[in-house]
Amino acid sequence: MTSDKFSTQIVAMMQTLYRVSYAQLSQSCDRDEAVQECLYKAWQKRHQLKDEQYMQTWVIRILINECHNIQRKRCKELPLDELPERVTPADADSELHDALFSLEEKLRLPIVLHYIEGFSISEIARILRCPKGTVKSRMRRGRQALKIILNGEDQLLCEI
Amino acid sequence: MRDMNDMKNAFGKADDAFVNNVYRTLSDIQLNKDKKPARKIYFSLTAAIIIVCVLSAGTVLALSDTWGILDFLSGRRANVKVLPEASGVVQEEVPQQGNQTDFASFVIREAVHDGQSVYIVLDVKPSSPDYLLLGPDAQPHDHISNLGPVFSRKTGTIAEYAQANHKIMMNTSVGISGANCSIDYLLEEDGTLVYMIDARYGGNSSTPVVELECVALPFIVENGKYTRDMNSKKSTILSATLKNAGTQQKVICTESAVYSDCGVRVDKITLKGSAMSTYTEIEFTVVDANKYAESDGIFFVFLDRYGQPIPNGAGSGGGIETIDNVHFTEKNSLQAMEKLPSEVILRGYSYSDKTKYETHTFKMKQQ
Repeated sequence: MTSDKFSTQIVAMMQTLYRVSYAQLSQSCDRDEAVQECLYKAWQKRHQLKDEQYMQTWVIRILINECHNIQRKRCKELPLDELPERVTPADADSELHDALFSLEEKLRLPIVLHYIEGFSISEIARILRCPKGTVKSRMRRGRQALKIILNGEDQLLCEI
Repeated sequence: MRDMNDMKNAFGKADDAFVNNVYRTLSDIQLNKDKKPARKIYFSLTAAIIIVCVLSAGTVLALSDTWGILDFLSGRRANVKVLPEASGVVQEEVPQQGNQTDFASFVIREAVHDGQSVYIVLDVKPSSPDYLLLGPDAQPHDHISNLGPVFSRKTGTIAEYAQANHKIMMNTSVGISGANCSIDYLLEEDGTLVYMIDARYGGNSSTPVVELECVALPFIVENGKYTRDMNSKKSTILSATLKNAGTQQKVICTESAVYSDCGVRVDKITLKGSAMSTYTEIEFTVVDANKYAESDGIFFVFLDRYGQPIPNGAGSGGGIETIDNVHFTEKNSLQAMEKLPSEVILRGYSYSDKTKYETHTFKMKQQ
């Protein structure tokens, strides 16, 4: 893959990179660091990507790993109950924003990947490296929790 | 009632800083596509909080122009303990060459190499009084107070300050070739940008030559926005010969212990001690893939005899290295210790929801 093609594909993923990192990291400096590390690693390891049609899921997997590395560091730098709170962006739907962040990360991430990013259950299972059944159960629990929080009907349809 | 179409608005859109960071990274990849780029670890909120806490001490240090390695550790980070002997391993005269670009000169002020990590404080001096040097992640729209204690009471943005003082903003970056660096920096009153860099850096050489990639380039306005002028980029490789003070002690434990709640087995723990830090390595194996997946990943914390986490040390974290699909090594840095312990207590945590897993005690043997 040429660096031009790599850049073009990454730029097309801009909003996805933002939302996936946002779903896991509360601080913008951490999101910048995660995405930067992700892009360097993806570029260095591009030869390991056997089929370019999977580039998006592959890059997202790397990004999630980088986010987890930063979470580990922050957990060690700050007392476990003193991680900084998240500030809702001005252009975000604050009700949905707060509802999503009231979920545990393990429930939030599959919901974000499916409903916002449009990944299938199989793709999410590959990205999160867990069985499809685990993805489905986490999404079900996430939807139920969102339904209660948003006090409405469960309209978050998916393929399961 | 909400539906799934609303979900796309839950986080808003990527802000300018995020978009610029992606473009900047892609530019770096384009420019350095045939070599490994020097990566930068961004200044974290933790560090920012610490700066506020130590502002008065930092201002005195900055005004007296004495920021050295130990000043950065005590003045810019929390709870970092080094041994008194650390001052004895600070190398103040560092043989170096290749330090000049058209925009700035790069000179190492102090260095420490303790066999596991390097710590370097480096002066970046502008080649013209008209240049305002900024660190790698500083943006013109950032607050001027971010530049360091000397600027802590100033208001407005960096761009506004530059305009008012007729300065040209220069982006700079410094990284150790092939190493993942942690970077801190501050701007001194005379316009010198002082970097503190640390990175894991092993090897047995008593006088290793460390290469630093030093870059400077101006900000320009393009389509109404500040951007880095990559066409004007000037870089140099600064080669420095360090003295390897080496680690003083090493203890290991090869008796394994299973953390069944999270599906892993710790196989080996190694501690290496120097005057700067205690470096830890935990080698572990995933023995139950389902439980490990349920945990969403784990990290380990060393506890003292009272069950309190042992504070972090001076070195960069290092993070988790993947050996293969089931074998991992977690590297970290704890505060320096006079004598390495004969036993350690290790607790597993989930890093997604901070769930506590089991705690095991390991007997350590001298090596």
